Amino acid sequence: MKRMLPRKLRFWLWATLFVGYSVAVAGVVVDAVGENYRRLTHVAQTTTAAPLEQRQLGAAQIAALYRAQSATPFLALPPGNTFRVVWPDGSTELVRIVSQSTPHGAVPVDGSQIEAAPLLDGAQAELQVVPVSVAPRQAASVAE
Amino acid sequence: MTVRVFAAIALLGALVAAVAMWRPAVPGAPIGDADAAWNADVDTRGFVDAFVPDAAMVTDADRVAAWSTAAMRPLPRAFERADDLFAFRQALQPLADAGDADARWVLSRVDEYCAGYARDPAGFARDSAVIDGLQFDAARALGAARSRIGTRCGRFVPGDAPTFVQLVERRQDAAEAGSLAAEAALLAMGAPLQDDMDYRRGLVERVQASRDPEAFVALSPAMGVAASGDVALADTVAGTQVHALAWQLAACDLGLDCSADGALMTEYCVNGGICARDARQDFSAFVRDAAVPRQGAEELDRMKKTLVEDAPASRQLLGMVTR
Repeated sequence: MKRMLPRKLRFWLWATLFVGYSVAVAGVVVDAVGENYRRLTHVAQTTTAAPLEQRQLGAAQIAALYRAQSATPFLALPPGNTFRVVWPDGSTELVRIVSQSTPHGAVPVDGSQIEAAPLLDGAQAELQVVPVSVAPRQAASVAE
Repeated sequence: MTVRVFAAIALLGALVAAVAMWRPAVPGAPIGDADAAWNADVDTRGFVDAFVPDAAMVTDADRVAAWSTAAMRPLPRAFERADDLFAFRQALQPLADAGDADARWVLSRVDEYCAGYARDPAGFARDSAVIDGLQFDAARALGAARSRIGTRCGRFVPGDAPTFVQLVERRQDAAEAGSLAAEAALLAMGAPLQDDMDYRRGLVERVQASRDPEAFVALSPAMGVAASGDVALADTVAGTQVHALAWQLAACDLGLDCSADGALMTEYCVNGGICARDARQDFSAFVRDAAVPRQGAEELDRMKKTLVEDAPASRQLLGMVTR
């Protein structure tokens, strides 16, 4: 019995760690992937080849819906955060949050655009919002 | 024994992961072929027509006409109260054309507020329908805020929606006519009238000395993370998201409409997805409830007090502000 107790404790310790890890990983996926994003007006037809203004509006719309579904919306994608957006055609780019209250509050990062892989063209690509880094911003540049 | 233990743990973990990933199905058909039906469900003509005002139009026009001979400060307040922003904008246009700084600033605020709707009224209605169909806590608040914009901006059409560049240009016009709020907004938009340290610092001091709530809230995005590392703003209330919130709360204290239906909270909700679950909360209560922990709220209050009460050399600067 004395030997069983530590074993049980070990079991529950490992179980707790494993379950906690599973929840944490699953939580990121749940919050980061949503099929509803691509139904949004400014997102549906947007690719990295679209005009800057359209990508800005689309990215801001994605960020807004992402925050609206968060329990802590002020802390979700705050100004200065950068996240990667995968457009419905599979092309991707980094986007930096510059404001949480304006329609132009998300600015694509120059040079981060990656075209859609040929296999993804026309496929049921899923839109993903994956926060990747936090970086302060000095000043937003005026859209070209 | 060991195999059974690991199997049990794996099974438990998989179950929990499955529960965590489960999300209630969104009412309506799945994406793909449902898109057509979902589009067809929204009668956009009805949406636009439903908000065509009648008497409100006359009321707003009359209000502006009455204010044209009075002090300009009421214009931002009129913007908050106007039920039909299209009529309000039309009534404001002659004042703006005549070079009135406040009118030009408020006009740009109307354009910014209504841009999301005006750009694509049908798309705005479709997006609202999508959001209404989702099951998350803020969906109702978000739907209400979008409905508010749909109502107030219901007569705007795509040609009325400014691009970002056009909005910057309109604010440059307002700033050059003397609108401090427009000047502050330009800094926040990354297009300041001048881009040197003295100008940035001077602008922040002028805004603080002005005690103009519109200028405070317009400047606030520039005083958040965007100001981090800016030597010109090193010893000011600037550098983090909390600092930006402090400027906004200070604007509330100075008279900005920070009610649940006000433009500030509406734009936070519609443009940023940051909506108060409690419809009775004003912006101040919402920030304390959702943005900062209790100890952070005390620090936030200190920052706000500094902004409202400790304006730098305010008496001297007031001369510059009102030049």
